[in-house]
This record gives sequence, structure tokens and C-alpha cells, in this order.
Amino acid sequence: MTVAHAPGSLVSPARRSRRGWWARTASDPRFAPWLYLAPMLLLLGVFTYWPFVHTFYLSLTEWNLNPDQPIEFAGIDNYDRLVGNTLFQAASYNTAIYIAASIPLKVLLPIPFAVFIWSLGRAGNLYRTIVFLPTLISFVVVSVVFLWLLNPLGGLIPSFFQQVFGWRIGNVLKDTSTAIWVILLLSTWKVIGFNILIYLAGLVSINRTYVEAMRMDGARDWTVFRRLIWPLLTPTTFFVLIYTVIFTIQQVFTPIDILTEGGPDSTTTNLFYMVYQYTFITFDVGLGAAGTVVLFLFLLAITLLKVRVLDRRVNYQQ
Amino acid sequence: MVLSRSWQVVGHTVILLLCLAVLMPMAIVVATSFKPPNEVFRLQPIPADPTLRNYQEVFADRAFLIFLWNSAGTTVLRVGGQIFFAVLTAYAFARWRFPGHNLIFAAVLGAMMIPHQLTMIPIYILVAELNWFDTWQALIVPNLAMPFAVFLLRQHFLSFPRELFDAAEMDGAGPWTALWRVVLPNLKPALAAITIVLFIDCWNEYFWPLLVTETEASQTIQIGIRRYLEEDFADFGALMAGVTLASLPALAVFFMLQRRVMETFVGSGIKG
Amino acid sequence: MIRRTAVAAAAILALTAGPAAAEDVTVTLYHYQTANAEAFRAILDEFEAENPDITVQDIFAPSREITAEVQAALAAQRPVDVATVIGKNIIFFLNNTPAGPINADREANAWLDRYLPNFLDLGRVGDDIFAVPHAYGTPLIYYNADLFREAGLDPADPPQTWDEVIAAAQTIQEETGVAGVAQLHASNKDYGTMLMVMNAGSEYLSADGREALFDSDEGIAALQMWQDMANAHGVMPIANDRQWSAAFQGGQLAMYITSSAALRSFHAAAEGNFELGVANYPLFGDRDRRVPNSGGALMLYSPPGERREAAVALLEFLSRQEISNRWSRESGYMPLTVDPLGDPAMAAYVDSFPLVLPAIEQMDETVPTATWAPYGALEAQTIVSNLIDALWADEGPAANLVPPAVAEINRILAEANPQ
Repeated sequence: MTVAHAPGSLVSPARRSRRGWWARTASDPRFAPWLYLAPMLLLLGVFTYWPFVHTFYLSLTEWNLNPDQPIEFAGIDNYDRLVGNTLFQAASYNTAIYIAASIPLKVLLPIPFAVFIWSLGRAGNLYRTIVFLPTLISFVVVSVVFLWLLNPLGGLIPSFFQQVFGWRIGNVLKDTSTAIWVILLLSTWKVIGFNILIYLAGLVSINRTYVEAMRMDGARDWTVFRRLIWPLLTPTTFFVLIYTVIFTIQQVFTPIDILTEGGPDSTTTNLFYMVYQYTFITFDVGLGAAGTVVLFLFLLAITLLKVRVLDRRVNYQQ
Repeated sequence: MVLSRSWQVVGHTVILLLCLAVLMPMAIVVATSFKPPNEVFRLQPIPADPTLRNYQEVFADRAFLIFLWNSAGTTVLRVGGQIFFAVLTAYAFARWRFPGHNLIFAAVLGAMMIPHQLTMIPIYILVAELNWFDTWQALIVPNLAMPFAVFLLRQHFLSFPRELFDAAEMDGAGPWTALWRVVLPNLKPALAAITIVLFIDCWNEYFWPLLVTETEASQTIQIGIRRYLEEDFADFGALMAGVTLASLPALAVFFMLQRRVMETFVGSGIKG
Repeated sequence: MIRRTAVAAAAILALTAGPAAAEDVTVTLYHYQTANAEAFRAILDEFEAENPDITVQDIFAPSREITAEVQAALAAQRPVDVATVIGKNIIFFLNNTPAGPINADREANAWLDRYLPNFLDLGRVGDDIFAVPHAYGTPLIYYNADLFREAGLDPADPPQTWDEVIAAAQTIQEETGVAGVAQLHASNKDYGTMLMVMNAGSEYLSADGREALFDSDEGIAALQMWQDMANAHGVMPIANDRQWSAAFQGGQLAMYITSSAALRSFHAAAEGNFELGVANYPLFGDRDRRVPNSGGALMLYSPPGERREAAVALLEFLSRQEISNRWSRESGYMPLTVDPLGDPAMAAYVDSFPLVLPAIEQMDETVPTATWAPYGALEAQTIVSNLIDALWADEGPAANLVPPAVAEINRILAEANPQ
């Protein structure tokens, strides 16, 4: 990394002597960090943590959003109702599938694409740009278009398989064994270009002369990848992994809502979609809030686990 | 690096398939935007009788331009604010060790796990109490904190040579001056990348604007487009025209900044 | 930078600060009209012209989210005077929001009698009326007349019963290879199921919404028929509402049963492609037709005083036959008043566009949408939706699948809504 450095002295001595109380406080290491952190902490406090605490409170109550109706304290009733409920069980199970399947699809699959595009050098720019396009377009509309493409009544994809391979594929969105994979593939479609871009950015820093040197020593492609590229890419992979896990559950919301509404037989719903339905469709605010808390704990547990397992490896490899 | 011949063939084939999978739905969106209503549901993707009426319809809706203005204005202010606050925060974490450093960092990152969509009701009530309904600030202020950006920036700061801070200090620059004169110029690529991500995120946001906007004073383009997707009355031609138009600014930002992005992670924190 | 941010912030505040309060009364109205928004606004403008001191602020929210928007606005104590509420949510809104009876003053509100009495039932509690009809749809058969002809059927004599629908679908499939028939399914989660069983003579839910009742013989027979359409008869391709709708409009489905509100879009899509036909919702055997309405009604939320008076004046204006009929013509919703064709303008319209006639004929056969008890509705509706998926997937006959599903729904409703 090249470091730009402003020529000459940054601050003249004369100016330094005039530094007042504020300037001294602002560079005093005891206070300075807090000045820089204050706006973010204030914003997070007001617009993230306070609403979360409020949600936690609502999860212990029974309320339907009606200002004229008292909020009744219900203890852990909502959690009790949630745990015994088949929709919640299905949503939790699917949430685990969404997260687990996202790792090969959204975290690992982009890597070979990125490496290939990187190996092309400049010529890879066009590929890079094309695969990034889905990131830019409204997911609602993309979902509608896929609904047409997958339509068992003359949709392009079923027609293609029928005519080219003679396969009759039924309605993949109404089949309990395929629907969740359609949602997963579609959300992969949406995010893969973005992840490829992130990996490419990680790859750009790899010095190509090392690669050439390894080749001179007779290393084959696979060896170069395993011995050089993969280790250097690990921190990027870690980053992609963390945000994929956190965002995948939200990211599949739109295709679930438009393609399946959680069906067939509750095989595509997830905790996020369930919470949305409780809160904004049936106004069971307490139950929705309880679902939010569970979802948070779920994400927290997975993230901590990943950080514990992977942080060590990443550091080790640095 | 040059891959062996067989890998090249496999690589090009697979990535061409991926590009096809990406372009086909996109092409359908654009092609449908040129179809008259009686062709929208026909199977052939190319319009037989191409028309601009969908675009005319979108522009005849004079509100469309206002939606565009609201989207552009709130996005620029919001993304600017998000980056500003994220830079300050990441800088504080990178520059100083202070009591509670790790705890506060965990609190900032933990916020990533509390998506706003799930805590919308308390936020909504808060916005109502502030009397911010149907204003730009309702779209901007509650979303100014972006822990994701802090996370990304901090990764970059981690690789930032300590000597740079020290050198600036020796020159007598306070942390504020050092941030602007030394640190930020070296962060430009990272900032470009974050700008793209935040811009797209904000530009395509749907649920929050739906709740807090009411009139043309603040309604954004995504809300405007949604009007064409009512069940039973869906005007898909206009919807696709609207989406094509609405995607252009995001596309422009991407093209403007993508070069920078490629430099972003060069030798930086993500690499470790 | 900070100063610049502050300036920008100040600029935003200045830009977005509301106008100074006028002397006028403002009525805030929530609606989900999009394609019809201009026609609706024109009617509101006419009302404003008649009442210069009243301004109507109309706020659009997509139909899927309007309930949430209104509920959230009420929770945040924002002004809501009149809100469009989806039929199935009316009872819920009655129990859970501070809606006011529209006919509090009986004498002054005689105008409510202009509406068809069964249309008022949905919002009737005892003698009080809490919801006036506004955007009511009714389910109809839309059919592709060209495919009928191609299969040797007479499009002028469309099927009237389910048996005839299925027979026509089979003939069309055999002769043309195009898929036969489908009925909308998931609109408002379970509207299709409710429609199927209620038309067959079964109740769907008890009046208080705490008990599912469609495990009756009629209910099971109706759902068995739905299963047979997908399997034994093989005339119904398994898909979802959006896909069927797209296929019908693309000429890939011969008959599609959905709301009268779809007429305008279907008419535009069919133009130049195929001749569109419209027929009444099929009868189940020899039973009378009984179709729950879809769509939304207007509820009143203004606090007593000026705003309420203004809001009631608006509701009265909308109930005038001339206005209500114009709204029906421009939107495709059912006309709402008693004897709509008594209005010459409406009669002339029906003559010129006879496809709207079936919707008008079905007005008297409309019954209120069944509504769920306040808690447990999501789980219950999910079970209904899963039941239909299981039936279509041929996991067992309706007689085996329906009773346990109903029992499970009733267990959940009883637990969630203790008496």
C-alpha cells in the first residue's frame, strides 16, 4: 500500500501554541476516543439498542399496537407460545438450512469465479461488471421475473428443460423438497457478483510474481491455489462469512414473500419472515417481539462461534 | 497468472453460463419495459411491437421526478452521514486503546445483528414522537449508524501503519487533522467501496420508507415503483420501465466508483 | 465538515417543515388505489369543490401493507380519519382499534341505507355500522373464448357449475393442450379456501372467528373437488396466484377464477390476443351461490368534532349512487348501492361493456368475508395453506387430511384466545 503524505509540516508551530482547551481535550487520549465515538454510540443507542430493549420489553407483554388498549405484562407466555408452535419450529429449522447452505453457495462458490476472473487480468473486467449487475436491481422485480421464468405454465425455464432435455419439471416452488433451494439459488444469484467483487479485491493484493515463481518451481494450478491463494484469501473469506451469516436471513425475505409466502408446507419460511408476519400481518406484537429476541440470540450464537473458531485460524495464518 | 488451457476452457464455460443466468432476467426486465400491455405475458422475450408508452406513462406521472429527487437527496445525505460517522468510529478504535475498547467494539458490531426491520415498531413510534413523519430526516437520521461500515473500515485501519499516526503526531497535528490530512486520503478506495454498498442499500430500500413516507414530500422511487405492482392491477410494463430507470443511478455510481473499489482492499485490512 | 453537515441538516429541516396550519379541516384518508388512484382523486377533488373548507389528504399504501400502515399510524397516534381496511381485517380492527360507529347519529346517517344491506353486514355489530363498502370485489370466471371455440365449446354458454367447469377444462386440455382451470388461492392468505367451502354450503369459521368449521361434509366435499382438479381430473396445474394470472393473460390457461377487480388488467392483456369472457362464479352442485367479498371497506377513526363531521360528510358523498357507480365503472369494483342499474349512466355503461354484468349479478349473493379471532390467526392460516398444499400433492383424501387440520387450528385458536 502506498501512503500519501502531505508535503511539509501539517501544522505550523505558531498554530500549535494557540491550541486551546478544546484542542487539548480533543487530542488527550483519555477523552479523544470518546469524542469520536459519541455520535455513533448515540445513534446506535437511540435507534438500535433502545428499540431492541423496547422490543425485549414488548416480548414480555401482550399488546396489539392499539394505543387505547393497555399493554399487559405476560411474563414468558410469548416465549412459551412460540416454542410450542409448529410454525416457529419450521422457521427455526429452515433458518439453520438457509445459513448452512449459504456457506457453500455464497461464501465458497464465488471464490473459484473470483480466482478465474483475476487470472484473466484486464480481460476479466467485463465478467466482473456483468456478474455485479444483480446487486443493482430491485429484488422485488427480480423475484417477479423469476416467478414468470419458473411458471409451470409456459415459463421459459420449464419449457427449456422440456424441449432440450425432454425433462418435465413440475412446479419447483410448490414442491417441498425443492422450494427452499430455489429461494437459496435466487438469493445466491443476487449476491454472488458482490461477493466475487470482494474476493477480487482481496486477490488484487496478491503479488503475481509469487505465482510466477511457484510456477517456475513446477507448481500446478491447484497447488498454487491451495498453497498461496487460499491462505492469503482467508481473511476475506472470514469477512464474507460473517456478513453472509448475518444478512442471509434478511436477504431471502423478498423472494420468500413473492415466490412462496413461506410455503409449501412451511418449508421456506424463516425466523425473519415469521416475525414480519406476526408483527405486521397479524399484529401479535408480543409474539413477534419474542421471535426477534430469539433471532438475535441465534445470530449472536453463530457469530460468536465463528469468531472463536475462525479468528484463531486467521490470526495464525497472518 | 495464466491458467492451464483446460482450466481456461472450464472457467470460460462456467462463467459464461453465470453471465447468461445474470443477463437473462435483466434482459427480460428491459424488454418487458418496451412491451405494450397485451404483450407483457406473451412468451417471446422480444417485443413484437415495441413501444415507449411505459416510459411515457412513468414520466407522465409527474410525481416520478419528485420521487427521484427524494431518493437522490436522502441517499446522498444519508450515505454521506453514514460514512462520516463510521469513519470517526473506526478511527477511534484504530487510533486509541481505551478502557472498554473491546466491549464497545462488540457493542457496535452486535448492532449488525439487530436489523432495523425487526425493531421497526419502537423506531416508528419514536419517529412519531419526534414529529418526523413524511420528512427527509425520518429517512435519514434513524439509519445513520452503519456498524457494517465500521467493521469494514476498521479492517482497513488495522493494516494502517502505526508510523503514519506517529509521523503526523510528530508534526504536531492533532488526531482530527491527522484524520483529514493523512488517514482519509489513504482510505479513498475503501470509502469508494463502502459508498457503493451503502448507496445501493439505501437506494433500494423499501420497507422503512413505506412506513414513514406519506406524500410527495418524502416518498422515494422504490415506493413510487411499488404502485405499479398492486395485485389485480399490476402494470408490469410500467413497473419494468420504472425499475429500469430507477436502476440507472445505482449503475452510474457503480461505474464511477468501481475502479476505486478494485484498489480498495489492496494491501489493506481485509487481506490481514 | 461539521458546519457543512449542520447547514445541510438545517436546509432539510427548512425544506421539509410542514405548511402552517390552515383554517381548513383536513381529512386524512388511507387507501391502496394505484391504477385507480387518479379516478379516486378526481372524486375527492369533486368533494373538496363541494366543501371548500375541507381538504382531503389521501395517503397511499400498497394493499398488502395497508393494514400495517394504518395500525402503525394509530399506534403512533398520527391522524387517521378514514382508512381502507381489507375485509378480513374488519372484525380485528373493530376489536383492536378505536374505530367509531359511522351511524352514531341514526337520523343523520340514513344515507347508509343507500348501500346494499348485505354489503353493510361485514361491518355491522348489533345496530352499529363500523365499515362502509368501498372497494369490494367478487370472484368470477375469466375465460379465453378463443380456446373454447378451438375445443368445440360455445363461449356464449360458459360453464355454470363446478362439474361443468371441470368438464370444459378437460375438453379444452384434450383438444388444445392448454391447461384448463385454476382458482386464486392465497389472496389474503386463505381467501381461496374460504371461497371454495362457503360456496359449497359450509361455514368457514364461527361468527367470533374462534372456531374453524370447514370439516363439515360440504367443506370436505369442496376441498376433495379441489384436490381432484389437481390430481384425479388433472385440469388444474399447481402454481400460485401470480403465475396463474400471468399464464391466463398470456393465453396459457383457459379459465382463471379471480376477483372482479382484475377485469381491467385482463381486458388490456387480452386485447389483440384472445377474446376475453367473464362468467359467474361456479355453483357447487345444486346449491345457491354464496361468495365472500374480497377487497376493502372504509372505517372511521376521527375523534368527535370537526374532523369527524368532515369525514362523515366525505363518506356520505361517496355513498351517492352517481358517485358510487362512477367509482365502480372506473375501478372495476362492484357497484355498491341498491339497484345500481337504476342509474341511466350505469345502465348505458353495462350495455356498452357487458363483461361487467356478472359482477353486478353477484351482488345479492355476496356474504361477508369470514374473519379470524385476534390471536393465532397466522398459525391457523399457515395450517390452512399447508393443508391445501398437502391436498394438491395428493398426500391423502380430503376426508383424511381436513379433520386433523381443523382440529389443530381449533386447538391453537382456543389456546391463543382464552375465553
